Amino acid sequence: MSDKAPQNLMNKSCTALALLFGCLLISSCITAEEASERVASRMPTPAEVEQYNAMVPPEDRIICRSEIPVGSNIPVRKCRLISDIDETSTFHREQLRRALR
Amino acid sequence: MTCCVYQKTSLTLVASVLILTVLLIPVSALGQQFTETGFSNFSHDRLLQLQESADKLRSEGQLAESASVYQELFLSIRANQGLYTEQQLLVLDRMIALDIDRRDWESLNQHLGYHEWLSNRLYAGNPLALSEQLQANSAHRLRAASDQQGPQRSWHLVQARTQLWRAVSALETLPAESGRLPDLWFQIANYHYALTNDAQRWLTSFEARTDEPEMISGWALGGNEVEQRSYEIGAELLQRIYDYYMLLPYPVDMDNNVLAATLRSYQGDWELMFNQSQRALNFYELALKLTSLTSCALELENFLFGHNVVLPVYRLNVTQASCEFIGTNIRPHQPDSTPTSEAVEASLLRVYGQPKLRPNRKDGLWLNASSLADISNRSGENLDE
Repeated sequence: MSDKAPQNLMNKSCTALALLFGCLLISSCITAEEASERVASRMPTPAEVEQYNAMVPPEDRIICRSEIPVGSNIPVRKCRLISDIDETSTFHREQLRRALR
Repeated sequence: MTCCVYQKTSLTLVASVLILTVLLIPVSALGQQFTETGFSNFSHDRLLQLQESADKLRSEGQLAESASVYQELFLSIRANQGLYTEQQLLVLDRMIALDIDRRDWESLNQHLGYHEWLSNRLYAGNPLALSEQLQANSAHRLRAASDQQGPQRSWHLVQARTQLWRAVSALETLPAESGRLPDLWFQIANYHYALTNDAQRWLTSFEARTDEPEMISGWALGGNEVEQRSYEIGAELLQRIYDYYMLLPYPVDMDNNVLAATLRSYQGDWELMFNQSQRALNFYELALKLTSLTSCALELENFLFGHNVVLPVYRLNVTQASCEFIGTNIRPHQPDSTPTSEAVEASLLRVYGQPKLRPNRKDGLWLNASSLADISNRSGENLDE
């Protein structure tokens, strides 16, 4: 009886570990759809951005750059329409002007 | 009754045929006349005469008179062949070159814009022809950039680069023509290098806000960001060129390590031009390793690193990357001696300004690597960050 207790404990631990490992394995797997989504959501490379910009009118052109978000020191690559950047820039400038009045 | 109806119907048919015949006779006669004359308001001889006269005046240095005769020739061709004839492109090329000689920038911009518009109009369904015309437009803009300063120079260079990207996009629709892409990628990378000294506020405007030569103010990329982006694009394109050639199926007897070593040395050059000395050395060492795998190791090492190579290398010439060529040539071939390519080479020299040199190697040591040493000691911007 005293020999069986540690054995049961071992068995339970092994089962828990196997379950944990299985869960990790399943969570690390992705479906084909997810894989294609990940490819689609991949940020374009600088050369791809430039080629895209060459083919579209100025109002549709984008700029990709590294930005450091608030609350983090890790730069994130973000792509935006240049018209959006201009609008945001104007908005922030206006807000600052109002605050300083 | 039925008989009468039939008779009426047949009479109507005969009448219709007769009317159509009467109507068609002058049309076919007119068509024949058009074919014979080719819609000509001006004779072929007259056009040739105009062209010879314009060429002669240009060679004599009478640029204003030559421009006037070219203009007459241009209008005559349009009057003869119509507004959308591709023959006008031949004259347009000469008019653009003459505009640059005369430094008539307003006329130049007008002609370049028309050249681009007409090329797109004529060759919308012919990507190969379109890409060739876009490349011609790009070469004109490069020449214009080399003769100008400030924002106009940057604008022409940005437009030259844009035309090349459009040519790339056109060629990408033709898998059989993919062999033309590496050369264009290489040129685009070089145009980026030419623009690194122009890290000015107007660049963002010319690249992203407008295709016109006027600057539109607003948010702009910083100088460091522009340089970083140019560096990344060039590095990406050179890697793309390397991958392209390495994926090509080579004949068994052909040693593609020669080409691989050459392309790796170009990647080293790019790093060197952007002051990345350690990365440059890594690529040069990689090139040397590949060199040792070839049947002409010594000759190739001497070819790549045994003499002064002026950077940037203007052309991607993969035909030189073979032991047969290297065995008979100590140095890479000089550029073509055709007038067009000479003009382009001269423009490139002016556009790039002070050239750099690839380091030399002798007896297992990097010699004359002052450029690398200078760069290592430089405390300027670091693109590694």
